Amino acid sequence: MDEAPGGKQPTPLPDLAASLHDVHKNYGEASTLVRALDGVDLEVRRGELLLLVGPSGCGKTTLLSVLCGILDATSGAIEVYGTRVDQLTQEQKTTFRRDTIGFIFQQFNLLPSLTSAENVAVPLLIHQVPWETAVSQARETLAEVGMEDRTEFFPEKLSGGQQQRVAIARAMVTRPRLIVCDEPTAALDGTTGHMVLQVFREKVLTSERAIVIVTHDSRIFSFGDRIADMRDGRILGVHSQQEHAVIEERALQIAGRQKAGQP
Amino acid sequence: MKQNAIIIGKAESEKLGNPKVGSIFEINNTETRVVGIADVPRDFLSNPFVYTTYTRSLFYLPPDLKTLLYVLAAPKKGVPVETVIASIRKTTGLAAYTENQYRWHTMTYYLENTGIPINIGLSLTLVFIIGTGIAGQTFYAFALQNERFFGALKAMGVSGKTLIQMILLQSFVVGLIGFGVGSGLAAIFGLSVGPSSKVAFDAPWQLAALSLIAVLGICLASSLASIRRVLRLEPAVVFHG
Ligand SMILES: Nc1ncnc2c1ncn2[C@@H]1O[C@H](COP(=O)(O)OP(=O)(O)OP(=O)(O)O)[C@@H](O)[C@H]1O
Ligand SMILES: [Mg+2]
Repeated sequence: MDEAPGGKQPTPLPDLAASLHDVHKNYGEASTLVRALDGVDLEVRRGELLLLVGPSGCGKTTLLSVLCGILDATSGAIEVYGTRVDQLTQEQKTTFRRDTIGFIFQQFNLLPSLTSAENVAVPLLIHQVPWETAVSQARETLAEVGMEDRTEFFPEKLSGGQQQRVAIARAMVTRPRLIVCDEPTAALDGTTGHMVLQVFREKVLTSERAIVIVTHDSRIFSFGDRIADMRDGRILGVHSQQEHAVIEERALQIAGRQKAGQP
Repeated sequence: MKQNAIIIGKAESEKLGNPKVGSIFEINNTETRVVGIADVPRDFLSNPFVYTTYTRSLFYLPPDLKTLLYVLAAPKKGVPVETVIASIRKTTGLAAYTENQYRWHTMTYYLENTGIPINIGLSLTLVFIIGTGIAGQTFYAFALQNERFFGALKAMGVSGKTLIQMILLQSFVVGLIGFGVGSGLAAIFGLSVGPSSKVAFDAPWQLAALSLIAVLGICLASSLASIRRVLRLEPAVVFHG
């Protein structure tokens, strides 16, 4: 694997960032068996921001975990930029995550004893980049997300939205090709959530990268290129943002009519 | 020197009403005078001791040899202790021991014939179990608190080996700080009560070594639990914190 993040481009990138084919994931056994993923088919295109939406417990976190090799699927094929993630050893999965994926978490998970710049430097340090280089590169990335005046602040001195922007900088500092986020706006108020998604669209999304965001938050649906609807461990459909809006509208109308007792 | 002269032990003198040299009191209805105070270490049972010669002691005691516990004897120059012991045994039919043998004889007596070792042993065991429980609980809570950070690091591609090293380092640093504070406090306590107080305080280095081993053991055990959790890497922990 290439040591310097960002400098690798031996072959042209495939158009598909990631694909899952007939992926199953079971938790537990027999009476406690849960089919968290029950035949998932999904494609993520390079250069898109894909939103994964669905009710609580439908398997969104499980899907993300399987996609990144945090969790082993029970069966099915998972491919990220041509790499069959399901066929990697645990050690290879660790390296794969380090080199290919950027993570953004609901609770930000910034290390409390490190400054913003040091937190953003962590993935570079994992790549064995020397400290000085890593921290100065981290400062540059923080500037990209508009946090240049907070580089020496500790997380507790930052607002939720600022912490999440630091986390975004941390996820992109190694120039990963796939960025995954589970409920990145759940801990934020509406306006801040909007602002964070704006950062995703304007600063994080490039033609060489894909972003997958799991969310409940219908206020940010308009930021997705496509929206994947998930229910009971399956993808019901993937729609453009406009199509999705129409479907939602129709579902609301149906629900309204049923409530009013109409056929 | 007067017939009724005695020397008292300093450590237990309080129990005799803090007599001074020249004080007079009664032992078994016999008037006696303190002629000296011996600076001897505190006895395990804290009974007051008085010292005098055998001949003088007979004034205080009923003429019944049973109250005589032992006679302290020193061999003449050049005579080996073993020879003296053998000859005492032979001529008197009584038991005779070297200093070391007698020390162990006494200890064995207490261990076998009194409830003291069981009581102290029980308290020690209880203290140890409770201490282990509290320390283990604290470490585990500490590890749980940091779990999402370890989870995030693991997700970002930190190897399992590095994570284990981090967790162990963290736990041992905390453990060693705790051990340092603990033994420091114990030492301050020991110094403040001093050698001539009511408390028989004795902290040999073996005790410190043993508790250090125990502390490190507790650290290791409690880190194992969190290592197992971190290595399993629950997605819920990683993503939802
Ligand atoms: N470790 C586990 N053991 C057993 N069942 C699990 C485990 N993790 C998740 N599940 C179950 O798998 C299903 C999918 O869980 P998952 O966390 O992927 O849902 P989700 O869509 O992310 O929900 P939410 O929106 O509430 O985060 C749920 O029914 C859940 O109870
Ligand atoms: Mg979830």
